[in-house]
Amino acid sequence: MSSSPKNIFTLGPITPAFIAESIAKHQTKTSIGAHDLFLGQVRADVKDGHAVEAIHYTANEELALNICQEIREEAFQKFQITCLHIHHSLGEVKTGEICFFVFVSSPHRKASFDACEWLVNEIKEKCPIWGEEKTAEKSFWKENHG
Amino acid sequence: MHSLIFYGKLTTLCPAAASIPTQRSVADLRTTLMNTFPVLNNEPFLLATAGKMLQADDSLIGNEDISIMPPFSGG
Repeated sequence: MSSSPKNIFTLGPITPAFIAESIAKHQTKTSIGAHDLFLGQVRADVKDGHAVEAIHYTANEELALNICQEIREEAFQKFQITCLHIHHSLGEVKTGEICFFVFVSSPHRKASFDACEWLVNEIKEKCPIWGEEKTAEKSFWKENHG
Repeated sequence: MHSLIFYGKLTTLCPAAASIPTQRSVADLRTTLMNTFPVLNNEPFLLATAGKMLQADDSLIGNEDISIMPPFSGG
């Protein structure tokens, strides 16, 4: 039976301090020999001649947490990993700031590399989260392309 | 009745709050939604209720709140 879903959402950007603290917390887990981190950063794409200044994220939160829990459980079955952590922003994240943080740890590096890539792809494909890109002039609904 | 909640791009194309008569299946639901909101004929959408995705062959018990969601764009 599935355990209750863990929250993945952070209001606003995921800060470098939070990421550093997440890494530091693993120093006591001495069976770990490898970490792999993915950091998604808001990019200043140009839309209709204007640079994106921020992305505003919304989600179907209950569904997203349930789906992330299923993805998390599948990851532990597929890969020899020790722990994994998923964080995604809601609300406004400015260009250059971090909106998506996946952190995987394992005894050996290959499992972390493989699991982290798989998790990022699964979350982007299956989690009901939407980004609305904001320029100085107007908004554009973000589309994911692979 | 089913209360409808639109997400993402669909919030700008459909009413903020809406409802439709009770449907017996997801297939019926999709048809009714596309008849009620013609824009959905041109926009791909997924359906969910109570924190779970609805599949094409699912039945409905009636009165569920329905989430209507465009393709996801997180990350």
